Amino acid sequence: MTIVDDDLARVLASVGRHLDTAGDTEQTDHARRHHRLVLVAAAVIVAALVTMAIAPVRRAVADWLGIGSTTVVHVPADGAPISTPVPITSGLSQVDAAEARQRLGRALPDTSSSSLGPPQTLLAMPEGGVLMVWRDGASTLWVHDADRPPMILVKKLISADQQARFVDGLGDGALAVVGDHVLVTPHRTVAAHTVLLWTVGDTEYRLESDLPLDAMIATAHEIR
Amino acid sequence: MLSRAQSGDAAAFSALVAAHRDSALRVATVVLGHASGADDVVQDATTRAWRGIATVHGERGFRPWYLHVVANTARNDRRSRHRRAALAVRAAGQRAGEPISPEDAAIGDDERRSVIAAMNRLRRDDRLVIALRHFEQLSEAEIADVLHCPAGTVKSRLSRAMGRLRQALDPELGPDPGGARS
Repeated sequence: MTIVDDDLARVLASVGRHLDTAGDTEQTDHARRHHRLVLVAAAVIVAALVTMAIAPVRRAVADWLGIGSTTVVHVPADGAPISTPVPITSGLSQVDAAEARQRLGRALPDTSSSSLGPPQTLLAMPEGGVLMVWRDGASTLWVHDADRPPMILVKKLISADQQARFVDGLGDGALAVVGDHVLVTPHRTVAAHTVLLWTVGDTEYRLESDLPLDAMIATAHEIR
Repeated sequence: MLSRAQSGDAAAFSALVAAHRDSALRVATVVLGHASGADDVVQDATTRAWRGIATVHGERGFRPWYLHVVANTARNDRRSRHRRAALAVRAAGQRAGEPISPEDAAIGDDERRSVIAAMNRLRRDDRLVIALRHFEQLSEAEIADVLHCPAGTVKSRLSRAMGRLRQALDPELGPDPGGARS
């Protein structure tokens, strides 16, 4: 069939209006799709409620179980085995302050006036950002970009008896995971202890320490 | 509406997305090369869009940005690989309650089927740029936002894609334009 050039744009527009999409053709799946849309809507509403619960929220979009680029996933005790985790500092390269600033695109947070003091060392994280280290790794602060949609940077896998809860009044939103757990990133699986996650604007912070959670929260407030 | 969605208003976000759902389904279908799974792709893309809504600048920027997320999600979907494109069109009036516009009434089902058959012979990138311009009626600047390329590149890409579509419609004009079909 020959369609002259002048008509082609007109026919293409009509093709667009008549294009079969999943929403049109799979009538037998209509109920399934409707159910899924309801679930998505419910998830969005739950996310909104969580977001409102951690006011003030500006640019931090809290997930239904997570914050910034991090998602918390509860794994049942009999769930699929997780590959052997490594320490978070394992195999990382040291960087100086200038390199760290270049990786972050901004200055490192000032910890000198916090109970942590100046960091012992700075490490380049393969997932992006910089890991600040104190006391030979007993406390670490991972600073990275929280604004990298549309992707999930990190998933946390924790057992059902461990607690993940939002923390009020810290940054644009904060979340604590208490107890040992596993951190799965696109690059590796990391053994993790109690962590405090919070976002400020485009930046996500992850403080991990052997300190009690209350002390970690107080320390986080001291970081500038 | 966008600023409300960016501050965490799920109802505002849902309204934004709902306004562009048909476009999102068409873009997903065109990139996948078939309708199967397009709604799953849009659902996944919508979840991603919710996570990244804070990065959109300006109310008019939402649609191109959302379609960019949909197109990327569809590209990364395993259902977009290793299958020949099989886009299809509905016959006029097939959808219950759908009014037939004068523009559509003047065009026969055969013409639409010929064009969609020709599009099935094109590469995915050609199908997408044609769909963004002619199905979604986006401007070149908006297409550039969807494809994350300069506006000048859109013009040349669209021109080449339309040339290949014309060849596919009339094989006497030249060789098979399909090349690497996807």
